[in-house]
Amino acid sequence: MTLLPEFPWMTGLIAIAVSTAPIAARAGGADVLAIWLLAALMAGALAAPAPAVAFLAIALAGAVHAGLAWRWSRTGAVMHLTAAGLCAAAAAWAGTGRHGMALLCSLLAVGLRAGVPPLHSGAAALAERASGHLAQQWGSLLTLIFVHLRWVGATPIPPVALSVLVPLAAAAAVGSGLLALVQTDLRGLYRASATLHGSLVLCAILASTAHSSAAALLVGATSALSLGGLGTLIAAVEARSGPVRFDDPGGRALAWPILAAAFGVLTAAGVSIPGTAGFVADDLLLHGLWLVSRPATVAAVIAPALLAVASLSAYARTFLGQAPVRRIAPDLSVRERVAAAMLLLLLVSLGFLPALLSREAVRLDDVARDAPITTPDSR
Amino acid sequence: MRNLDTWLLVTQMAGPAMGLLALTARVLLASTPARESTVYRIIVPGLALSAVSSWLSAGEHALGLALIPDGEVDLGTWLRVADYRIPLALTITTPTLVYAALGATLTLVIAVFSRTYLHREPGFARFYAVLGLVATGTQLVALAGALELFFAGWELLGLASALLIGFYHERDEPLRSSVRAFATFRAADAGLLLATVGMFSLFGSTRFADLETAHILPSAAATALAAGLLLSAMGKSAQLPFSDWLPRAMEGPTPSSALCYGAVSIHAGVFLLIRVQPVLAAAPLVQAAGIALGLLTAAYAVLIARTHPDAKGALAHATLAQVGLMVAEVCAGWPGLALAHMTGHALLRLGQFLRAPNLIHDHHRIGTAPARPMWLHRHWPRLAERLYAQAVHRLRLDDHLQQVVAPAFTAARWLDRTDARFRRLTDIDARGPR
Repeated sequence: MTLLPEFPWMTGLIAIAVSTAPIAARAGGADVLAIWLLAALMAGALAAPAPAVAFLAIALAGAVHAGLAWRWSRTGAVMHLTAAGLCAAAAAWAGTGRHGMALLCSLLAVGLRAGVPPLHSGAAALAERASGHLAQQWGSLLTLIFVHLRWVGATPIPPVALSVLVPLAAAAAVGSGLLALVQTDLRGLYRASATLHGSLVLCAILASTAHSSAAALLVGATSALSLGGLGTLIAAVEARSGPVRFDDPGGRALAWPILAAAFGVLTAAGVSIPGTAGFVADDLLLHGLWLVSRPATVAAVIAPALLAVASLSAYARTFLGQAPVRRIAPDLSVRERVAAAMLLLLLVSLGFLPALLSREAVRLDDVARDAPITTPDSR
Repeated sequence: MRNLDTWLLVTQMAGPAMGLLALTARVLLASTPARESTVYRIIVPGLALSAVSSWLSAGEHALGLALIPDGEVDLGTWLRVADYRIPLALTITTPTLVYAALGATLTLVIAVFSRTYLHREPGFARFYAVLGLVATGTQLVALAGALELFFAGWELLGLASALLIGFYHERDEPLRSSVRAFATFRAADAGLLLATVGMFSLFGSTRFADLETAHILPSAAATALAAGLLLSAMGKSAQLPFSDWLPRAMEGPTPSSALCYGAVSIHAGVFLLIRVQPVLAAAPLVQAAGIALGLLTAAYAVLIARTHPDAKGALAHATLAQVGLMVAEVCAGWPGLALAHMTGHALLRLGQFLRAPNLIHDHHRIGTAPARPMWLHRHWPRLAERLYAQAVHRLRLDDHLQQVVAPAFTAARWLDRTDARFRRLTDIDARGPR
């Protein structure tokens, strides 16, 4: 086993920030214990000296998420349990040296957790019923992405499989973008946004076999931060004015300007506005995809554009316009501001200094190059 | 001294950016709203610094005093992953320095003008924040030495334009217009993104300087690259078939219309084509398409301008006509002419747009019948009637675009229904009581 020369602090920091944000935004004793447990499991997964330990830690984190999600959505909880089972299977396969099977299980686990169509039922159910929880689970999903890249990312994928899977994932992203255009409420938009980001994460992971892990890690981090922030703020909006439909009168920016501003910046970050992590992440993704599939590259350009238009339209209908009634709920509380600021700071820091995260990906590539994957058949 | 030259260039970009950051921090962290004088004092010094630096840089190069010759200034690497690198490079050529100085100066003029024009306007701070965004984006577009940096400025310009169009967000129409403009920009920007990726795969780099060797590219590759760049330029500069967003952009405040759609943003597409002239020269098919579309846009815009009932709308179409001619000039291989045309036009239009509200007030033209082309009516009255009817409806461009876009929305709604059915089937919670 080749150990990483240094603990991936940035990945760990982002994972913990995303897991913590929805809880930090509101008080909750029982959830705080779960956060400590998740943080320990994620740190263990990142620092694990062996793939079996890493995947097992992620599996346990999935079980914790399932427990937290059960009261909101059984579908979401079952999704987490299934993903946990796949991670446990990946641990077992990796432990026996069958990295191909471990890769397959890990990819399926990522697809389930990220909500890649047609595996998106669980994530969609969580987006509908518990946006804060869906946001939170992106923290351990980012850890899973890192673990995947670290331990099975260098496993060769048959070119035939790659030529089918990458365009399919990219097409799923475009489909999610089209869905985003016709949504009629904020939760629907969040659901479409989550599946789109998940599809692009899968594209990046598959493309990393041809280029570098940096795109996968940056796309994963951007998705985690922006979806994490959006989920937290959607919960904040709904706590103040109930579920938001786009045919309702907007004007919420007049009552809650800080909430509107934070929501706007997080939405912009999710659609790769310059100065945020998504800009560099998408650029790297396109370069990686170009080496694997040209049609997928075109799809990866179209999908975020569709989401950007849908997001701007949704923002305008939710926050702008005349307020027909006086809204008496207060603006973001101190806890909510801290949670949002934490995620925004990370998004902007990575936007200007992407090397903070990309160097961890470069280390992954160096380790994979120095320790080529062997399978039982090749020994 | 060489460092001084570099610092001047960096200051041109950093000045507005620092003002924007300072204003954002003031608005978010303070418990009381910022006063107009505070907002003005935060933003304008950055703009002034940028303008002064741009004039010093341009003056130095014009007089041959600069220690950095025409070419590139390498400030390092923004990102390096495997064989891929995003350089932090700035380009110093006549077109870049002229556009940078023009953008910085006109933004400063608008900032000073808007202090009284937008006095007591509820979105005063918001306007100046977006002005900072426009200034930063303009300098990045002007000076970027690599396509990634250029694209960053390009996107900032597009976002700022959309925010300014939707400035009066209490009404529905500005919001709809804002989304429409943004959608047009993002659709056209696909060309620039794909061109960036394609350029790296062809040249191993995304620096503008490497485009000088575009003549050695295979014809198909050069055509594809040029087509992507032309598509993006057409979207930003509102050329056919992307012209429908420009008249709608007049919903924003007059200073923003003057800056963006008279002076700076509307010419960004022309500027892009000037910068990538070597690629255009290697793709005759794209050149021909650019000339045809530019001239068609000019003809279309002239027709509409003569029937438009309000001053700002008429000016917008007059601008469109001139930009169409500029696109044709660049594609015909006359970038110098296009640059001179662009500079003079920007200065003229800025003044005309800023005067537009006075014109309306002075002549009470709101709601009056538009003028008809008298000479055409004398010689070919039936043709004149038909042209007039078509021009009043803007040649039904909106309807044609709607027909193009409608299938995507139909597909999206079908997808939504199918997805909803699939989720109901697989959702345990939907099956029975909990």
